[in-house]
Amino acid sequence: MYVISTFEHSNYLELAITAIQMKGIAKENILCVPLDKKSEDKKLFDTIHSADGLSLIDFPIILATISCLFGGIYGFILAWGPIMWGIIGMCVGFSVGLVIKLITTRKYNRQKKSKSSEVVVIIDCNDKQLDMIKNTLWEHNALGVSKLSLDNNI
Amino acid sequence: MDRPDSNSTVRRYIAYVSTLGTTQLHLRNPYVIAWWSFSFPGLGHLLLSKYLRGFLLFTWEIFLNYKAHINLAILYSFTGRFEMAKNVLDLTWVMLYPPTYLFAVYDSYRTTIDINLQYILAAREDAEVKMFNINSTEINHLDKRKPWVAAAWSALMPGLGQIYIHRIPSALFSMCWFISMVYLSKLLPAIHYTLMGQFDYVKSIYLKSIVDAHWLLNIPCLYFFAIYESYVNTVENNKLFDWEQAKFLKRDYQYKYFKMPFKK
Repeated sequence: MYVISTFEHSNYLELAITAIQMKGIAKENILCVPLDKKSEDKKLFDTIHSADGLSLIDFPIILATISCLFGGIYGFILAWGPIMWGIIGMCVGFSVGLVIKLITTRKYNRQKKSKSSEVVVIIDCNDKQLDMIKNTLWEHNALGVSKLSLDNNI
Repeated sequence: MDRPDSNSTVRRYIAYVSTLGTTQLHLRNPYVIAWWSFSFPGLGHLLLSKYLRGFLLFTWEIFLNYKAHINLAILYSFTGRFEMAKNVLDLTWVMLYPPTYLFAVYDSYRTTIDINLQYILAAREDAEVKMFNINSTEINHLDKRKPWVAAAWSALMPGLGQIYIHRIPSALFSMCWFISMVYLSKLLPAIHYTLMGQFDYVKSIYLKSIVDAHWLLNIPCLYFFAIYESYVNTVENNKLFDWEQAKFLKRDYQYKYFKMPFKK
């Protein structure tokens, strides 16, 4: 009898594993397979001159800083003063930057999922322990849990 | 032992979780780092976690800009008052500015490329990193945190996002300078009068202006830097957490005699 589950990387994963061990499953009967992430592998092999996946914010914030600065400078001679124009500059700069960034990286964004399975956990157990293990896994934010019993359904 | 022993075979490792903060190698875009140094010398180095030279260059810029009136000259130049710009610059100081300014941009660019190479080598070496550290004054550990939460706290008060992700030197830096600049520029009264619609109090071309333009123009760079730095480092710390946990699971939970489910 096996229980197969998937998790995101988090502290809850380690809590789940240790909780199951405390309830009598030996460490040798727990198999964890962390999955390599597709996007990260690609990024690692990028040239050193390109950004590494955090680039969604860097262009907007650069544009916001410049626009805020120039908003402040011209605000000294425009009607509403430097604070108002600084804030206007900041908002316009950030929005324009974000729109540009989203358009230019739309191809990559589409592949992004909100929650993805990052670790597969397989636990070898007997029938009596099944419910306990499934409950423990669900309580610790498992993304999916399923039992696998090859003996019964031949 | 927080780091590999000096006599161990490990040559490079990608992170150090100390009680003052998580210092991490990761790939950075050299143009982005150089841009932050261009906007304010020192900021690029702070993004690289090279705090001491970051503080040095930042303080240097604050001091020399204040003495030479660079910010006021920029303000007058961009608003077409070129005679005022020429007159406001202090000849005693101004020519000290260019060399160090350009060095800060150049050095942060160069250093980024070097550190990226070190990261690639360290990632290939794949040495273990200690993820938990505790001493008599602080506790630090790798964890999953939300980038937007860090950015939002830094937007409310620069430095808070840095505390959220446990970057104490950077938090100290952002908070001290932001408070000083807000006070010296009279930012808060300026916001007050702006909201009241009394714009003449805010604009420096009127005599009754209460704003200090020199200090006000320093604020955007520091403010957005704090937001950016906390966001970026949260993302990278999260990736480091995943990497470390995956390494741990592969080491401890892949028993070689595990009975895989096969049909007999």
